[in-house]
Amino acid sequence: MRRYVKLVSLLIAAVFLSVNGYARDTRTVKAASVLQGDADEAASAADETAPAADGAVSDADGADASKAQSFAVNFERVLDSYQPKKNHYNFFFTYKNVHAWWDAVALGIEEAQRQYLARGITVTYEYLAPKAASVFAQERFLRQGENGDYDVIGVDVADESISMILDELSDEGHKVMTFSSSDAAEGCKRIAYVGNTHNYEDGARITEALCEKLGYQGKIAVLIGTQGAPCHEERAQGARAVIAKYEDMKIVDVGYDQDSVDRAYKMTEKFLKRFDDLAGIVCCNMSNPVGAVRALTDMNRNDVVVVGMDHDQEALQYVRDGKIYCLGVQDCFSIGFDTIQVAVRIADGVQPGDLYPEKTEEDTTLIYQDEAGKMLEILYGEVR
Amino acid sequence: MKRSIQLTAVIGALLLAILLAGLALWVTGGAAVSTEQAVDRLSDFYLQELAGRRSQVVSSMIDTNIEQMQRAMNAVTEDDLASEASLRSFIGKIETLYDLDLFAVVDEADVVYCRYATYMGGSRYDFLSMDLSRSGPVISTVHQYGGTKKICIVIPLSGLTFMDRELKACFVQTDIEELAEMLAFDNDQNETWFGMYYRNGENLTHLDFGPVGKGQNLLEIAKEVIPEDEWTVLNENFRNGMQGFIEISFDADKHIMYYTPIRDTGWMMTVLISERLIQDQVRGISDELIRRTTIQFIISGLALTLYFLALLLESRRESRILLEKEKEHSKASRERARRSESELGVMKGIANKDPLTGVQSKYAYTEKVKELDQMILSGDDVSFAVVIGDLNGLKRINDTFGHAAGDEYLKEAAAVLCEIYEHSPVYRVGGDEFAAVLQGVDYRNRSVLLERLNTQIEENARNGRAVIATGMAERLPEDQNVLAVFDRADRLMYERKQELKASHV
Repeated sequence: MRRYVKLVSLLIAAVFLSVNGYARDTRTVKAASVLQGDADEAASAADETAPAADGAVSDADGADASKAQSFAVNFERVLDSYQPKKNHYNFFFTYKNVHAWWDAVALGIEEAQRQYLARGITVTYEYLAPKAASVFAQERFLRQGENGDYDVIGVDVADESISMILDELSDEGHKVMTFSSSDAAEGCKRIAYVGNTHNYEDGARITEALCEKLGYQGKIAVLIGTQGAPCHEERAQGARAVIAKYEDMKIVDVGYDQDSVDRAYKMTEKFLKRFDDLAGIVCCNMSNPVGAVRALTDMNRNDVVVVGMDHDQEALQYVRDGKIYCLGVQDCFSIGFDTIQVAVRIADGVQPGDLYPEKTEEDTTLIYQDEAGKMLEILYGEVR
Repeated sequence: MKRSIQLTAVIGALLLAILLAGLALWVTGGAAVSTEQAVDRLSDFYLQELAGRRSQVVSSMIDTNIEQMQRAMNAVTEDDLASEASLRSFIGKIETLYDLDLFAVVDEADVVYCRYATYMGGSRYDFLSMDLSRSGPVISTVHQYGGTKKICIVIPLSGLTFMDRELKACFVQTDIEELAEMLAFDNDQNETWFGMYYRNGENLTHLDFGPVGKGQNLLEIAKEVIPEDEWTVLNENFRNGMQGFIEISFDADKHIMYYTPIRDTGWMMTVLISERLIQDQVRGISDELIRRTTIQFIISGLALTLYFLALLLESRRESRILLEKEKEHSKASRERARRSESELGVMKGIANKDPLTGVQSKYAYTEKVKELDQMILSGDDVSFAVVIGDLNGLKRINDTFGHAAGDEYLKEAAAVLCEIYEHSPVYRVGGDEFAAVLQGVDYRNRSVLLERLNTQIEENARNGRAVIATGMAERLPEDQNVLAVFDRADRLMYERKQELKASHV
């Protein structure tokens, strides 16, 4: 019997020792392997160098496809098949005032410049503007361009009166073009224009949408950006023309915010104080709708219908939230991109015709509530 | 004794079995709890390691860029600042030297000078709204088209002028997506994610953060899936740049998120891991441990069962052996008793019989007297008679013819008595004295038998053969013992002896 007891005791001890020993070893090895794997992976990540520089831009055959418009703004632009005559270009651009809208245009310019560089063509440029829009400030910048060694001088016209200076520059032998939102006056000697060619229509379209929303009745106020800025004024004209069509609608007030959100806010407050029964506001630039909705929200006047222009993130959020009825979004990126393509042609001495139009027209898309989220995602990567 | 051992063994086995089962439950239950704890601890450690390393990479990249810019601006010469072309050339050299995406300087009018462009930065770069003269390096971001962002690492400048304007800062612009992709995990299994967020929860990168989409605000998403109090802590920690852990379940899939501030940036480094990843690893170990522990307990249980079974069987076998031994011992004892009884009977027989004559001995007579006295004392109606016989002339025969002749004379006398009282015991109660106790048939025929004996004696006397003087007495109701009867028979025997002497000598 003692033999049995000894045998079984030894068996039990062996089972305990072997199992616990195995488990301890396994735990150690597997836990270590998890951490070691991560350490290797993290070390590998730290050792990695940055990805290679951007690859070559699509060739000329892809040029037609580059025009394929994505939703409202086309970020997938590719240079067309035009072969520049020089390896280096130097441009001077000036625009109305420092504002995010022209930063969006700048992104298109930078993309085109990058693609040319990838082709071995260096494009350098100045892209300057005064902090506040004014004819005098723009003239000052133009004189700066006049004195520099630039292949092309490009201008987003702050006021039609600038056209005279552009003619002067042209007469001096400078190659002058206009771009962005406002063309020069009719008959100006500038070579070409790239940008919004339908500001009047844009103003009319957003106003028509407002009228329909209001059932073609009610008092309307119009907010405009910079006084004298062709694009803003043309949109306001378009708005006036539409409102004039409807007997039960009337523009009761007009204000300029000088591209300032704060001023737009104050102008809206003033509108509502004077016309408590105001039914809608037409906003003709980027800052107008933001200031207007902020004021309406603070005054708890959600009954006033707002329509506006451009792609400000806050304004698009207001569209998404139903505080702005619609926005006319211009394809700023393409404006900038095409400005460089046209400037290169102009620098090469190519006149408008088969290779590019005298006016390169860029699209404006009306964005309503159901599309605002998509627009926010495309422009700002914002997803709810 | 043996039964007690068996009972102890059985109870012991049961107690051990219960103990083993309890231990098994405790160990497996403990293993499950330990697994959970291990998962939590390993997850925490794992996430801290992941986030810490990546945060360090970002900080190192920032430090390197700052150092490079400081070196560059220390090396800038008056010639470099003589014209826009020379400045662009200098910037180009620095970009090439340090392999920078974009290096730029900014003047007091917020004009940004790059390698290929000069542009207005006021509406584009948030850092230009700051008073850079009073700050150290600034880490900022700038929005690009499509919602992408770039990192701007800015250092303030002083004492440098360009085209009559003071240079207020220089900065390096880095593609945040390239950095993010470099830091991102090889996420084939979709179980670990890395992210960088502003403190308001907005994503810095274009990377999905697990179930949180790239364009979604992390804090807003978290608010929908975690309890309010936990969200408050998370939100506060983000706002204040504090590190922490939080459990987040997306579609019942539990995740652990670790967040830690990235030094000097105002950003949060986040790492999210599906608990499945750790669980799979740890549970694999735990399951193996539980499996082996279970096997261990089963084997131990079986071994113990066998052990106690063996103990029981051995005990029973020993019991059987002991029983057999006891049986044998009992049998031997009985045999010994039987033998003793037999030997006693022989001894008794020897003691009860007179060896010379073959009649009952004096001892047997004493035993018979005790038996009868006991019956009288008990009040039984006992009827018997005592015959006393005394052999005449024995001394003369011994002296004349020797003891052998005397012995023969005694045997003849005994034979006479046994022949007459054939249904009664005859005792030799002395050297030449005999007694017979008559009961039953001989008692009822006592007178006839005595007459027949006397006739035989008289004839023997005439033939020179054994002469026995006899006396017989019956038990009378007043007799309280055998001795009283004996005494009367003895007196009658002496009287008869005298008669015989008188007639034959």
